[in-house]
Amino acid sequence: MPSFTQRIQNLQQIGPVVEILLTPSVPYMQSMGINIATIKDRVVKVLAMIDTGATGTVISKGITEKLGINPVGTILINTPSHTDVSCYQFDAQIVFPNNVAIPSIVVTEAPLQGQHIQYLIGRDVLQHSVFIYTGYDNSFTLSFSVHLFPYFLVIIFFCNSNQNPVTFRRYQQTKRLATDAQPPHRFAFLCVLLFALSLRAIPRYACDFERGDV
Amino acid sequence: MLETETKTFEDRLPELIKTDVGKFVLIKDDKVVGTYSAIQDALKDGYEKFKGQAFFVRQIVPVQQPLNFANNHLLS
Repeated sequence: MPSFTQRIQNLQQIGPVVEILLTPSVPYMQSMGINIATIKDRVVKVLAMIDTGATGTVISKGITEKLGINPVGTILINTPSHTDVSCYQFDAQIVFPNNVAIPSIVVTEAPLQGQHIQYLIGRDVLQHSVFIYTGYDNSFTLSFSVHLFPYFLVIIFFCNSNQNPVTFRRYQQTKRLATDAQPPHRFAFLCVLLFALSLRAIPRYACDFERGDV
Repeated sequence: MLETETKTFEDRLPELIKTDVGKFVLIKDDKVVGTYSAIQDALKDGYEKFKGQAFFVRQIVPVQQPLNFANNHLLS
């Protein structure tokens, strides 16, 4: 599971901030026939804050000029002081520590007041992750998970049916329903098959999380 | 930038809702280039067709919900 952990002195005052790298998105680079090695001057390091109060991800004005990308849309935003402000949206790649990368995410450009924060990581990123804020340890962890849950439900259901190995042995011993029961190796095969399927069943967005080249 | 595309989207929204609600529309100038099931497909097609120029991608929904931010770093 791709993840990273940050430890920050006085986490309560500073907040869950992390240095990330921004680049033009991977689909952009692929279509333009460029790669990270050829556009090193368009890789920007920014300080980002994880913000559970933000619907989407925000990038400070001016950063996109360094990235050399054009907008891919507009959106209205509401803030504590303004409503229905029209802002540009851009497509960019985020690279977290440990080379945990999101190759393509649409971010909203807005003025961010304050000297240190240039990027807000909103719930559009968090919806695909596990965010653990450990206040007493001054640390936080962000992990990106695969969706295995439905397949394990099926396995649990199967374990509780009368075709699992335990009941199979019981039926063999009592000489009842031996013809109906499934041999244990079939159960093992089913478990392996379901596990393999679960690895293939990662949603499209989660598939986009991959180790970056930066 | 993107004023023409935004106006085109607003003008064409009623008919797009009838046929492609939930999909993502790609617009360049006053032309609807296409609709796509995933935003990544719309972006990829936009990059390939317009080679890094600005274009407009938006989900087709009856009511456009604004993004909400509680952080007072924004636009203060």
